[in-house]
Amino acid sequence: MQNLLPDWAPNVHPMLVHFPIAIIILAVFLDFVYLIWKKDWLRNSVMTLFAFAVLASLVTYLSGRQAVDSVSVPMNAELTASYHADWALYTLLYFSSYTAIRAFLSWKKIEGKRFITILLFLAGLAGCALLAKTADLGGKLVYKYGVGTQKAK
Amino acid sequence: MKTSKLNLSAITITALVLFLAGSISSCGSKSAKEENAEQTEEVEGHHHDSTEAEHHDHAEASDNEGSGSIMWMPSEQPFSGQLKLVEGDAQKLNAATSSDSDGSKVLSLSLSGERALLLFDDTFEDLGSNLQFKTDGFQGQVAIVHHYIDDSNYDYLSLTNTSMQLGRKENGKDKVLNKEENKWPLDWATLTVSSAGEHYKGSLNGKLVNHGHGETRSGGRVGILLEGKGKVMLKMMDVMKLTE
Repeated sequence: MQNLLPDWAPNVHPMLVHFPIAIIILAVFLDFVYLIWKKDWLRNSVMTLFAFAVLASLVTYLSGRQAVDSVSVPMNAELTASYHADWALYTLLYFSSYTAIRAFLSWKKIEGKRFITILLFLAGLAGCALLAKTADLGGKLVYKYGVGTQKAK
Repeated sequence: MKTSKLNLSAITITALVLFLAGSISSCGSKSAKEENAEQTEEVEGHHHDSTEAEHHDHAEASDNEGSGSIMWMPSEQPFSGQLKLVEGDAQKLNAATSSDSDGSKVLSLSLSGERALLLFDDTFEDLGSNLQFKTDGFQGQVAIVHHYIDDSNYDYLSLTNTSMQLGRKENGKDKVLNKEENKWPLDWATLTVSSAGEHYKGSLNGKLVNHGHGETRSGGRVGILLEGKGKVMLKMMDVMKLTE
């Protein structure tokens, strides 16, 4: 796996980290569109996107766990790294549960009810706040503390 | 019916606008807390420069003026600085200060099977600590203890002849957070521990050896635990408070 990476990449984590961010935001956006424009293909797209988002989040979380022990983390960045890992786990667990509930509601054919669709959209939006906190801490690790910008010796 | 649909659409649009506004404001400006933290870091940087100079001029052993960090180096008189001998007999330990080839002072302790515990007075919650040490014919363990409340409740990173271990003593019971095989260093070595939230790490000479997890604990004292037979030399120990 390491051989497939470009020379500048310390590990696979920075390659993967943008996928869950993009997929989750797109899913929540399409969920919003679905509130206004009731189309079955939109609802199915949202469900599929959330399923991919959970998969991408899981792979990214695992790659992050591997990455944190392979790069040099300055002492003053340890707490940020710790919080980043914790928030990443909360985000993964949140969207895993959210997607499971969504799949259950879809299976029971009650997902399309107006009240439920609004509630699901707001819950997705709340999940974006967890995602934003995780991404903010990850960005801080790289751009404030320089973590991952050089290989651990 | 049409009115209720319009109301619901208005609610969702308002929610989205609020979310976007919140995202933009959180990304665009630094919080006051963050700015204060950065200013504190700058002040601490200057503080260290000045105290390093003091260490060369005088034989003062440690400093901590509320900056959230401590740096200890041996003084002429053993155990006279902030790192105090809490457990062990100073006479039996044959404590002596000498100078290393690089001119820095070294505190030598000779153990004959007993325990020696040296602690700072200050307490820390999230922390990082480095210990520079060397051993001579030593069989036993050299450990950094942290979150020390009493002899039955503390966390530690210990190095023995065969392994390096992150652990926790809770009501006298020992719990291993992470244990890895490791060789004893032959020369001066730096043992490093960090306790950040629920994440605990142990490094030897800058190489990460242990990564364990445990529940967060309230603040406790930090220090050195030595147990075994042989000679241990201590050159430097620092402790820093970790902030986000």
